[in-house]
Amino acid sequence: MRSSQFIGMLALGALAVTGCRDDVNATTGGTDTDGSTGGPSSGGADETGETPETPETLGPIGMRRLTRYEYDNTLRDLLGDTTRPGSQMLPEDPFTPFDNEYGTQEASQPLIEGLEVLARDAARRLLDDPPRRDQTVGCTPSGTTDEACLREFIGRFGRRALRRPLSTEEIDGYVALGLEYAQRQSDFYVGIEMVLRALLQDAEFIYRVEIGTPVDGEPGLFALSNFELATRLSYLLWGSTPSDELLDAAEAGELSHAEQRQAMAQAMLQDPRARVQIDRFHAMWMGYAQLPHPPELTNALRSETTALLERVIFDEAAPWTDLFTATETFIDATLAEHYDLPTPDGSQWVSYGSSGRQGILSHGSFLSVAAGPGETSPTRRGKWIREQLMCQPVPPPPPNVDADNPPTEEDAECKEDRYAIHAEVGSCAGCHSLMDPIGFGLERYDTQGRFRTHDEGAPQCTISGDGALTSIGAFNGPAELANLFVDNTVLEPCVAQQLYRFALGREVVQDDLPLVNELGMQLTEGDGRFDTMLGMLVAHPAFAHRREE
Amino acid sequence: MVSRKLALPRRTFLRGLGGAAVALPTLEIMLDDAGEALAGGGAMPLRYLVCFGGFSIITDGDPLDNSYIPATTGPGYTLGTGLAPLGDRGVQDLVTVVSGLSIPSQTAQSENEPIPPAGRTVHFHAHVNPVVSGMRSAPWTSNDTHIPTVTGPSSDQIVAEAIGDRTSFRSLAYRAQALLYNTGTWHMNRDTISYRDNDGEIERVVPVVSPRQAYDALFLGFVPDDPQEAAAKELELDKRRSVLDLVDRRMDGLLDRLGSADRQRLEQHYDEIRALEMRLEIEGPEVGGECQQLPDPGSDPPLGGEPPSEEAYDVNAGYSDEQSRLLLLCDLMHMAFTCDLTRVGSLMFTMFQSFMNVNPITGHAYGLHDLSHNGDLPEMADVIAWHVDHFAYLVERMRDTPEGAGSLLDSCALMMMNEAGGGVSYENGSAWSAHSTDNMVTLVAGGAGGLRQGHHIVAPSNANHPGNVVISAMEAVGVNSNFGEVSGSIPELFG
Repeated sequence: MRSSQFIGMLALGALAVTGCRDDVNATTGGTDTDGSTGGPSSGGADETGETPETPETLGPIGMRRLTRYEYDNTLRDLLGDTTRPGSQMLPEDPFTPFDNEYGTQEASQPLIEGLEVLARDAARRLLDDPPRRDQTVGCTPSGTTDEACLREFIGRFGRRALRRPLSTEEIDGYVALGLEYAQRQSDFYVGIEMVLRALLQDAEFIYRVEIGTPVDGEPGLFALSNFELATRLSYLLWGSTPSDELLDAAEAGELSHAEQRQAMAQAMLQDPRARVQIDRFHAMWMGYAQLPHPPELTNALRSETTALLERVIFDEAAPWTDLFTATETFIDATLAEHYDLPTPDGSQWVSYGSSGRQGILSHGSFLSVAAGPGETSPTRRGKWIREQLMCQPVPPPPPNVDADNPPTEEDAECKEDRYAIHAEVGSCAGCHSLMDPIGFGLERYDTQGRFRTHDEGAPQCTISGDGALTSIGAFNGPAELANLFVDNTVLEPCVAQQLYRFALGREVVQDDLPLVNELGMQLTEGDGRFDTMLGMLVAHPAFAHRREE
Repeated sequence: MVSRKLALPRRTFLRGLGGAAVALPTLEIMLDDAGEALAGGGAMPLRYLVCFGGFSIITDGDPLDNSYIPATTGPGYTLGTGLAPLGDRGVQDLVTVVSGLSIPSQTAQSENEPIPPAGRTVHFHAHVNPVVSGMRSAPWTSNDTHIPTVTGPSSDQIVAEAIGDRTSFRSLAYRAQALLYNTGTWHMNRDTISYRDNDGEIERVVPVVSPRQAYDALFLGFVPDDPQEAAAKELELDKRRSVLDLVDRRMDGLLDRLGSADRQRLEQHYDEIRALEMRLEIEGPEVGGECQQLPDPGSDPPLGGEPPSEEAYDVNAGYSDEQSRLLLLCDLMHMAFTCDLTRVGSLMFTMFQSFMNVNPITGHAYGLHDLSHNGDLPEMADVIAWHVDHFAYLVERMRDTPEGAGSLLDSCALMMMNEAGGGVSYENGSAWSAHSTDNMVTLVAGGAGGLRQGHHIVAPSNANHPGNVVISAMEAVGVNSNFGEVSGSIPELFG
């Protein structure tokens, strides 16, 4: 298989190295020996009417809860409620780097109490806003106990909220609750309030429940229903709940086949929500989702990176690696000064010229990541890049190392000399050779991504900016690092792995590798586009099935 | 409303629930003539609270000073910068400082050396366990993801197990630091100080972080004086019961269709819903006198550094107005004790290895953790004082709340614990490191069980684990228990 070349680049938790060797191939696991060949089990494409193919291998997955971010998006799209209350009230979703790992989600008293308050508040805000209320309810009640209108609302809104049609019996249950209170309070909308509160606390609203249909002869493997697929699509591509159109397609059975899902994904990528979602994926993956700067600078830096992502992925539909090779950047006068670039009129694309910058790796957003307090740390920067961008875990430091502090060598006046101990001491050198040389290649860029030529307050300590990617090559600065990455196809298999991790809400396992491998191939051998890779992902049989935990 | 008998929870242990007992505040009429005990002969309710701050008492490279450790022992001890709020709030004579505490550490630079009982690994940031449960840290391995595990119940849960069934809330767990403020790693357990033993399995008691949510839960059963407001409140309670009843009934059908792992997840969710349903059935306290519903705090302060929302990227990196949050949570905890809604609490001011931005406290933009390594002593003293000031505020509120013949404080055992001390680092050998668990300090306040107040006590060498202070505080509220691998109280804390 041609695809096997990528597996060597993938370093999974299960394959993680336990020691550091001066060799990137140290991360190669025994992937080829288990007989995985990658790709779907049947070669044929998706002739409509055929039974959808099943994935040859597929890692297990469990039920996922809406993240705080997804909860807020969902409220917005269901009710037009833009207050984003879930972020305050639901337990924090840690960035691992992604905020949607279901292994970190636990049902707790604060979760349940938070969900209750959130549902009550959301219903109240809706009722206090008649135009929004009327739009959501969708019919005008003829009286306090207009059962037909209530029933119509529950049927339509219930399908949106629970992401599947409700049975008559289920609708009856909500109607009974709503009518009782509408009658008692002589107010139709108290009935609406009660139904809303119940729906917004329902397990099938809070969790993305996937059940599916058992696949014959494949114990533990289930084919997802069309509604479950619609939900997977929308939370992956929009970070939010399915639209009516998407649910209609599910109801018509139009998501069963690979080409149908691919076409749906292409349509969904036209929605502004897809741009935000892809932007956010990159921010979490590359680590700049939370920047330690004042709001003005954070805003400016994030806007710059968002502009590049939108241009490459959407507006130009260019290969994804253009993110790393772009020769222009979208900045205003403030950032131009920050970067020492020509001042544009308003916000414009400005050429990097011979500044040594190129692409997203030279953005202040990315260069702000993994800094030490007040000062860059070549080790932390290198570790972040090695682990997140290259998908190669570096073992933690031995217990007798205080990794919170930079090396302190009393005699050494310059930072580069202080770090030299990492390369000189044998027991340190193995791991640090995987990290420090990458960081040193970016040392001429400070904790906000500004260019500098010497250590802060020490003009005699010139920074060379010389760095290296072990066993790949030497570089100086973000442009040369980006070129090394692109020329050696280092990033593609890793971003494919990260995307799949994000899509599943859990770490990638061995059985996921065939698909991950295909996705990486799309970037290197296919048209190289990120949106095409997303289309391949949703089309793949693995996306349409679940394996029980 | 739909009336339905509540079924027993699926799991043996019902979280956060004090049984079906009806909670009543300690009314004057229930006291004996002297106001020193309940008229029925029972003792006055005793209250237990653990506060925690994620600070060390020195910064790297700076020798120990008298900012947090008084220069003199006994009463009238000296007040350095860190302790100054005790004087400012006039509560020094009520707060005892226990210094000379130490969490034993693995010392050799080898992972083969055994970890001492109730001690920690050489690697510092795995040491949540000895602080919160008195158990030793899990061994460090080369595949360690640096997630500290907790292997025993925390003291608030030990106490709750003994006395928590007498109130609406078995215990309350709050945290002021709103977010981890750190990306890329999962710091599970560094954000929680309360853990319970559920049939041998140690579970996190996830703290409530939103003051608005904490407010809502605490004053759930309060009936306002105004008849119209009271009727509205009753209607709202009734609505909540009916909504939850439907949510609850719908879950049965779903559970049957899930695989075992998913079913387990949902059952836990289900149990929490049942627990909430049962809390809704508990009658509220008799409001009056000191026990009053606090004014509605309104929305929570914005979250600092949250990922972009629709409109704005960022409010304030690393800070979510923890100042206001902590003050509100102190007020809620105080009222929970006053109304006898709970007798046990934990209040985490800041997390272990806290990345909260201390700029509003010190004027320098540092994460608290970064400050301990790169800042200087006066700045750390200001951060300690910020913690101590809120602890002093709690003491002040309890003291100013009359109960029986004395004050609410008389029945309390309150503690302020922290993450680290200052001394030799076994990680890198430096003489003065914030990664040291020597020279730690715990503050104790309250008159429960005859606790000694207003003294500076140096812990005796045979009982100098912070856990020995914890055991003494538990003893003060009538709970005699070991604390993990620590045993024995500190006699000097009584009398």
